[in-house]
Amino acid sequence: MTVLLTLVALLSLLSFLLKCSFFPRGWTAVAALALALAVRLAIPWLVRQPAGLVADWTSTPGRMLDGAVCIVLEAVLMMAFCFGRPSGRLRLLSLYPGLLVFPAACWGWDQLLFARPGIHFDRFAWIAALVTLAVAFGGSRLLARLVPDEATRLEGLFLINLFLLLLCVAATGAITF
Amino acid sequence: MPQARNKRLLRILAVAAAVLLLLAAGRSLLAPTRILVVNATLAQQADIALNNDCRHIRLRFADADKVVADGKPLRHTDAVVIFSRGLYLDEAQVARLEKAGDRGLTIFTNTLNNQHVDIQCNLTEAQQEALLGYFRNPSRHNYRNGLRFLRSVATPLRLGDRHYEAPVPLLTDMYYHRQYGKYFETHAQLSDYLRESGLYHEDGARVAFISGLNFPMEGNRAHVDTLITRLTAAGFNVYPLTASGKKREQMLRSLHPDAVIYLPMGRLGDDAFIRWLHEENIPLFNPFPLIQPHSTWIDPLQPVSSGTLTARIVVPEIDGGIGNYCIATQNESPEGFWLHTPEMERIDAFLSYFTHYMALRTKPNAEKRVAIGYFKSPGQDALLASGMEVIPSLWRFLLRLRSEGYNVSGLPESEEAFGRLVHREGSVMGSYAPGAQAEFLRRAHPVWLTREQYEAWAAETLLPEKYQEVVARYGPAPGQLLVRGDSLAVACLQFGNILLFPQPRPALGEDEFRLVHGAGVAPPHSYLAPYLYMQKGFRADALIHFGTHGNLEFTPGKNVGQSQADWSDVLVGNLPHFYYYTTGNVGEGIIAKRRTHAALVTYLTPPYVESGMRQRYQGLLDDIHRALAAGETGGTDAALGLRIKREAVRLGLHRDLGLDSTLTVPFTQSELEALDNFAEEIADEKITGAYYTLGQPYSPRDLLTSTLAVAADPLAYETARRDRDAGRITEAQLQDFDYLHQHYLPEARRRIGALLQHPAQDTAAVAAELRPALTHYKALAASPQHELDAMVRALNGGTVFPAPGGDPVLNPNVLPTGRNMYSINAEATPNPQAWEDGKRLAEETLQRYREAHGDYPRKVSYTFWAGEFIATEGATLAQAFWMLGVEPLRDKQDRVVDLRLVPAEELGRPRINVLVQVSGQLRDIAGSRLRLLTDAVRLAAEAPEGGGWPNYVAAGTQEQEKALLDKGLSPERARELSTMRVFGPLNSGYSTGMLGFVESSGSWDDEAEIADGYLNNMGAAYGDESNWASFEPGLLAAAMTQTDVVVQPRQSNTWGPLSLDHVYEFTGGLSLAVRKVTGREPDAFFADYRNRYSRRLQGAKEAVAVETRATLLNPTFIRERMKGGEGSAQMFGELFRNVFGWNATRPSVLDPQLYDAMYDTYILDADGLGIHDYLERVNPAAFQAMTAVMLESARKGYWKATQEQLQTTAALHAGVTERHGAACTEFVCGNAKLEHYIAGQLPEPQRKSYDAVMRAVRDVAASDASQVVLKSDRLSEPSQQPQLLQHAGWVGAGLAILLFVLLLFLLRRKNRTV
Repeated sequence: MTVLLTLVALLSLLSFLLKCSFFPRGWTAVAALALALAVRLAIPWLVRQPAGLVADWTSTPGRMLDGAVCIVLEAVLMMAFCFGRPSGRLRLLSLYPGLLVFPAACWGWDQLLFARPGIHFDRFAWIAALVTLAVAFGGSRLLARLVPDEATRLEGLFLINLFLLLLCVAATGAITF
Repeated sequence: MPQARNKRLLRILAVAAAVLLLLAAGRSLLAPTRILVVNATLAQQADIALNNDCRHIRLRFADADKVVADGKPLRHTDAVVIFSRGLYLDEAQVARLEKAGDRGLTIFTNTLNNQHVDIQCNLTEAQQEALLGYFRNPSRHNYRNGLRFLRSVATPLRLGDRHYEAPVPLLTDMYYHRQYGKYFETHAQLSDYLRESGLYHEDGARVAFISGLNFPMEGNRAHVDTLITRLTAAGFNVYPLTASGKKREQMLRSLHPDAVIYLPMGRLGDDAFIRWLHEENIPLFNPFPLIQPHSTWIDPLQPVSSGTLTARIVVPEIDGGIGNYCIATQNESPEGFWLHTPEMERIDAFLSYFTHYMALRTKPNAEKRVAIGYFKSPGQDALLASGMEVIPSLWRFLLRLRSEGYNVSGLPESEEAFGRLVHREGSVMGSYAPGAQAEFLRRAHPVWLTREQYEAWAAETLLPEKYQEVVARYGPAPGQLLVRGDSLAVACLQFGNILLFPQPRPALGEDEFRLVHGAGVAPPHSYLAPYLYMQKGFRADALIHFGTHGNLEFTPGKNVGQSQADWSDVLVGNLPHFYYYTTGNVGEGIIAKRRTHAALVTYLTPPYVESGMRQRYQGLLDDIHRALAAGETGGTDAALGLRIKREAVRLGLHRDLGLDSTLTVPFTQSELEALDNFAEEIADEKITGAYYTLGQPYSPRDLLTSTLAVAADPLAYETARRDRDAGRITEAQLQDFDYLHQHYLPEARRRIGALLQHPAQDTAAVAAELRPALTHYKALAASPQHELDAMVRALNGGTVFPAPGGDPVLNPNVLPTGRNMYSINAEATPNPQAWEDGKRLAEETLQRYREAHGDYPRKVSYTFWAGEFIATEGATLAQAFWMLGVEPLRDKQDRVVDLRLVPAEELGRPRINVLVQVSGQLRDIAGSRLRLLTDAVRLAAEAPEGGGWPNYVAAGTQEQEKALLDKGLSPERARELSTMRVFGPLNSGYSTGMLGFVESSGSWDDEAEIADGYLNNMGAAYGDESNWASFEPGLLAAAMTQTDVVVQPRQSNTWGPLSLDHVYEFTGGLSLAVRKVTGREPDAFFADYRNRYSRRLQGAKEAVAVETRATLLNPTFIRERMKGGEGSAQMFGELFRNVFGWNATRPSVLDPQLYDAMYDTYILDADGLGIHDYLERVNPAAFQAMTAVMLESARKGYWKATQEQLQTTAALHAGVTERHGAACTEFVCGNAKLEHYIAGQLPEPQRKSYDAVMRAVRDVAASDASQVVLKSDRLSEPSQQPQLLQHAGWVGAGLAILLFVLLLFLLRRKNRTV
């Protein structure tokens, strides 16, 4: 399960970074700030949660299915974006960075919290937020620079979300049957 | 037009500005005065608030902590009143308050001379004086007008009601009663008033009632009025009085009451007055209101606060007060004020206790019914009491009662017949031996209670929910033990109006392992029945527990101020309760006293006797001294050296010291010094002889040797000190234990011996330095009579004089015995002497560890015991502080209220981490010190490294946090628990459970199982308020990592590591658990406090070796003990069991050849002591236990016995068993594997007869054998699987990133190609 979660978290992050690479610089900054803020606010809550929180969650089939549905929905939205620039009201879709990255980032930082005893929680929360901000903003801009071809990034985004989707379908199937 | 418009606009603006100004001025002038009251108690807050009738005053209350933390509460405040009592502020905090004063805030501190904080700002001296007049004299009038006066001072320009009246000095030195405003100058006037009011009882006892200086005038006094009313209604003439100091003493002397009820904090009077009170035989009762809400009080896991403990329990005990019932709690009224609320059930309980007590003063002895409980373990074991022969003591006591006119009809004519009767009728049953039960019910004549009768009494006495706990655990009445049909048997004996009953087992089944020091469960029906019968059936007037110690005080419940939900309270039944208790065990005595509302009556320890070891070692010592002297002058005598070595090897001393045994090479000079110290230690070891019999004076020889034990050391040290002052010896020599013992002690002993053998007729002719010895001699001689007199006096409703407790050698002030022991003020610990000793011993620990290992230990573990804490006033606590590198800070009353971090540079070494295991008794008497220690750990953990020294406290804290994170705790919880270093028994209990675990040795095959039991049972954290008594699986194991040293205190000459089971229980248990957690056995030391002039460190192996040689294998000691009866004989069995206990937990402290030596001494009786005859005659159960322990040790592999040794021991065991029947103690009857093992060592004919005897027991006992299980929450090592998965997660993540990069690369390449 840890492997699965790690994969989902990383794929979600990559999806987020790729998606943000299509945003204007300002909007990328807004998304990165939102993510950093979420991390900052989540850490005080996370420090009160036992290590078994995620394990408890994943050991409950109903919750797992709910989670899988969320991931599938997110993946579908991302894949829809890859089929062409939406217009009209659907233009909002092009500015949607993905929500899965929020729990994924929190989960990642939570892992570090458990691995590093003695750290100052409040300081850690600020550092995590800053690092998140830097990675989210810098990572997406870096991707845009490294892979300037939008089609290539779109394909990447599509394949990652397809992989996520298949992963969830498979996991859901394993849980259901 | 524009000009006109402008003018109009200007006019409007001017009017508006004027209105605004007026409004602002009005608001300012009419605003209420905001007064902040800091550090007032909740009762004071309620009193102040309820008496404020000025609508222009707004009151707020705040804790000092909040005020000084950031000063926020000081904002929007016009005046501050600080109550200084119990307040300690550092310089920075005082400066913050004074800064607020500089800004114009009026600050008044209501302070007394001895209080730390005194801040007065913006007040003239006259104003201060006036305010003191109001607030130092708390009353309705003064609170009301004090606030008004403060308003006029702080906000002089404010409008509104500015009226106030002058302060009225508190009425003192007068009597009062319930009617407010009615006061009397003399008790005669009050008597007249009572007569006029129809409240006077012509035959009623006079009760002086002291509730506090301000109570007559203040409003928050419902509990006081209730108590006065109830006492009056119960037929007493109550004389409430208010006065202090000498005037109060005069009033009491003039009134000469029959009893005093004293509610205020602090002592009733000075020592002289207290002595007068006791000499006049006026009992002092100390019920108290608790500053806790009802919900907190009723929770057994919430101890009373340390302040309350000191003020309401510790101090009254020093006055010899009794009846410490909690009569009120403090609860929030609907209006939000905290008011004293009478606890009506408790007031009734106190009244019942008081009435019973006072009735003893008038009831004829012939009519008094006295219940006496004694302690006995199951089977044929002796009646047990620490250091006391119970049967002869009971016998003597009953004879004394008869001579006092008590109805003791039917008492057998001889002590022997009495003993036989007690064993037959007053037995105790374990649930593992139903056959023995059946036999008992057939032979004995217990009192039978029908189920209906028993349940009716239970319903009258117990809370329904408490009885339900019993039913839920043991099923409906009558239960399983001592039952026939629907009836329940109560084992007891009745002689006229005297009832004797054994304390049954307070738990059954799996909890039997933790019986003596309390299982955390409700007691069974068989336990409740005798206490209910004693109260309701026998209708006792008083209850006595006979000897140290029973188990009632260790039943689950609150430490002090119990409620009806506490077994130890409800089973005593509000009867006057007296407890014969050895003076040597003050720690547990205090718990017995507090938890059962008992007055202790101390009895003597066994006499100190000559060990004979000096004579035995004298030749060797002389040789060593000659060799050492020659060595100092550079000479050598090879023949002498070899002779010393031969003798040392012959005696086996080299094994104890870890020296070589090559007979051709003499010891080196340093080895000789070590040998010299060790041999001197053995030669001077103080040992105790046969158990003491109550009321029977020591023999002249015992009196002499005991006086020498008490008085010789002080004389030797005093003489040496004078020599040091005169420059005849150096300071180092004065501090050298061995030097003094060689050069001063013999002379001191000679002088005292000569004095006592030929006492001078004129005491004045005795040298001043020898007079204490004479005093101690007389006190020792007078004690036995004093003990009997004291109990008789108590049974006449009299007082028991207060006294300190402990080993008479350590504290001769405990003599004469027959007095009520008290404790110490924990808030003042560690005291300055303890602090200095603690620092020195901590440094010595580090030095000895470095000498052995070349480095500092990372963590040192301490055991805190109540007896040691009281005797040394915190020397072990001081050691722990100094290891951490913190030192205590004291207030003006000498209380330790804060800590200072000693800078690393000043410390000059690493900060050493600590772990502390506490007994339940210590936790109950010194909870505040455990919290202080946790504060010290936090302080040290946050200290920066400095001077190049590492901080092991910080590193250990981080490691503990990591271990807890690995266990799955949340980071916040792991952080919170990472500084927990103080651990003790679960559920606020008293038992480690180790003794039961170890002795049920048929149930475990690996000692690691015992370690699991220890980690479970001792895993409750006692570090701070929020985690008090909390148990977190794995926390103790996490705290135990890196433990390199364990230190055990030793403060009494009446026991040692072999003779007291608790030593292996704690130190052995901890060592075993550390070994399991770390894979390495820690070094072990004893902090030896037995000599108050020379507290020192002693290696555990050395301490065990000294006691082994001085007692267990010493023919002189054995002969001395053989002069005693069954109690003394029982001790041999205990010694053997303790050797087994050490083997199971920390075998390295024992000499590998110890069992062979025990075999020679006890099985073969190689010294021709006649030990077999003795044991068979007085206590065959102990003999069976001894042989059983030897054989179990062999079965476990601890004793590498030869076949011949095994067969001889087994034959002896089987022979005793056949002749006397199976003793059915747990070791003998509760271990089927041992039984088979023994049978396997026997020749065929004897095997058959042994089997037949045991089968009779086994067949009936089999049904309960399955109940013997180890209750342990086994702590498995952290599973490796999650880590592997975690690693797999990161590997997977890496692969995913690689895949993604590869994907991007491929896509990009493809797109370029396209």
